[in-house]
Amino acid sequence: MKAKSIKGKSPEEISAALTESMTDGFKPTLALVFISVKQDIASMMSIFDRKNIKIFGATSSGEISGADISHEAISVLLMDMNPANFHILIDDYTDSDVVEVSKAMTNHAMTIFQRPSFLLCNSIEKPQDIGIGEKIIKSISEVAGKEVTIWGGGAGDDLMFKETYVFNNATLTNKGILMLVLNEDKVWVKGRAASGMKPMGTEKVISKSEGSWITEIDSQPAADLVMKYMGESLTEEDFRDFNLKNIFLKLMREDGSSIIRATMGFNMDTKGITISGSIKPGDKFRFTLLPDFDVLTEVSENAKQFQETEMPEAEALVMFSCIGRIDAFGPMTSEELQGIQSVYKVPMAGFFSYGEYGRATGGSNEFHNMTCCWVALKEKT
Amino acid sequence: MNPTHQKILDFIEANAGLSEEDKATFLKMVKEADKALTIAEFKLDRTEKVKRTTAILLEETIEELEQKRAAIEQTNEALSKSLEELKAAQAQLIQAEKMASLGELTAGIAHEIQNPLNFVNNFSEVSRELLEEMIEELDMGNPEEVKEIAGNVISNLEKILHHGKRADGIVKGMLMHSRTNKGEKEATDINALVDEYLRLAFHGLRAKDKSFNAKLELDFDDSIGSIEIVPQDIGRVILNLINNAFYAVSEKKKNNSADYAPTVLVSTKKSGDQIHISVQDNGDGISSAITDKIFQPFFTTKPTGEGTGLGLSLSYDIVKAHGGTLRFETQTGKGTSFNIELPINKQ
Repeated sequence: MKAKSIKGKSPEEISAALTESMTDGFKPTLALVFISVKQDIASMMSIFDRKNIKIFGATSSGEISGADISHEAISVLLMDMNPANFHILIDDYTDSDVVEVSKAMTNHAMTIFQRPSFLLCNSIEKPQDIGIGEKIIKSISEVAGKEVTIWGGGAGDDLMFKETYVFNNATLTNKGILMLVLNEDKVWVKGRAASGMKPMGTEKVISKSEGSWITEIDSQPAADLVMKYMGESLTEEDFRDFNLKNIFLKLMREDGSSIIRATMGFNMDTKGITISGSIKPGDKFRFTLLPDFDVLTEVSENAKQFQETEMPEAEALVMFSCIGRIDAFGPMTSEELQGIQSVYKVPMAGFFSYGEYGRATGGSNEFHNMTCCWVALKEKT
Repeated sequence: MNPTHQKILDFIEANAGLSEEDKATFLKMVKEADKALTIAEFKLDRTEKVKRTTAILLEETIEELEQKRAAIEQTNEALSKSLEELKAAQAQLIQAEKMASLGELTAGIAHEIQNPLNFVNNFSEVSRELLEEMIEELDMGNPEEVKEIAGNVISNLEKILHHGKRADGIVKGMLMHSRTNKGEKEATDINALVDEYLRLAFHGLRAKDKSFNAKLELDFDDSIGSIEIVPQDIGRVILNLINNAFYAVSEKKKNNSADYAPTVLVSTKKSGDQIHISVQDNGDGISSAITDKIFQPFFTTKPTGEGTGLGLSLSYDIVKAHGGTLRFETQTGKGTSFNIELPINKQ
């Protein structure tokens, strides 16, 4: 399989880059399109559809092309993968339960390939729904088994936290689940999830919660505690618009495992905070500190080790990185991307997401926050 | 871009004197410097934020740990107080148990004291009569008769002294039994100790229940001699085991035909550097449902008011404190044997 990554600031630039990429006889069959919500998505769909290229598309909060990061732009990974080895499924959960839709799609995937693996994106019509990724992952694992391969991320919207989209050649939806179903017998799909978040301070107990809203922590108003943690002395008015993306909790689960969850917003009337994912009274967590800068080197070292032990060669790389990593690493964010791409030296594209999907080392398939999930693809000969 | 870097950049670009190659080199250097500065500023800013958050969390953690420490200290104080109260209650219970067993001994002691008292009374009476006879003989001027009578009186007084001392010994033993234990070991004749408590227990039970009778079998090893023990403590253990054995056979007797012969066998034996004391009965044995409970404090099979439930528990502790073991073997319907093993202390 041959792959090429192209990028542009408009559909026209992408169209030109696509044409240019095909001048050497390259005939892509599949395009992974990551695009800002501010771009003309319909035009993009039309460009690839006209050339009979299957689209796996999601809106983004920053686009990745190689080690380059762009904003409000478009990044595409083109592959000439054998069409028999992949299938794109998209469905809308507007009038249905997201769990049922996820299960039905997985069942469908299993009728296509005996051993399907999944690249997954989903969209949401309001920011509070970011946590549905947790349900989708669980549903796929329930149907396809815990060992199923899933990688992906929640679509973004340039940090506006309003609504996101996924699309294929014909459908664009803000309440959709998009699957690139790959035949695992024919395509290697392997990846890694890196975080680096460090828990800090004592264990806290959620004493009161409703849905994804935490209202009391250790019997104190949740918002007050988070303000204290942040060391901020903002007025209530300031807090209404305060961006919480820098605050992450490490949730301790009953089985001893833990997962990072992002805080999504304040409600100063109820003194509540909302997080991505489900929560219940009695759950325990610790506040976290952002990863050290040396995590950037570690990610690269891990990629080298991964290459040596699990996947010596790849033909394309797909990156799903949490939008929080831009805040964490600032101008060094591209170093993380560079560190991974430099190992395989193949085309890479991806986007900054609202939640990532994948398996951390030794763990189960999860809906993550604050991770960098990357996937290596290679068609088997 | 940093404004100063931008000015340098503009200056280089506007400088016609530089070759294109030099320009490119300088421009690259300025851009690299600007990137390095941006990264340094970002790192500084993030480090400041992390420092602030870390300080808050540390402060909070220290505060929480201090609260936990204070709570643990309070709990510790409460536990220490409870421990003291428990120790005091335990001491009271031990003393209460001693007094309870003393009560059980009272009838036996009375019986044991009655014998020497009878001797004292009888010999006193006889001696008074002899002395009256001696006065008569003196009046009659029979010095030989007087000497003979005086000899008899002396003999009687020796017997009175002997039995007086016997009664004194019993009373002292009783006092020792009830006294708070000082834990001082002394050389003690085990066979004599076992024999004394066996008789006290037997007569005590007979005094309470005239119909009670049991065959007592003794099998003492005379080679034992004296060993270092706290006599009143080991005496309490023996008394407790014998009382239990008597209770077991008397209970069985109540429910069995005349063919049943209640028997208690008490034996001592020296084996290497160990002394074995065994108290065996042919009662009903101990039910398997309670065999793991009989050494627990306050566990008793006796009706309410009849047993403290501390006898075997304290016995176990006493034997253990002597470096020995207290075990039992039982067979339902056939009886029980309690076996004490004590090390011979040659100090």
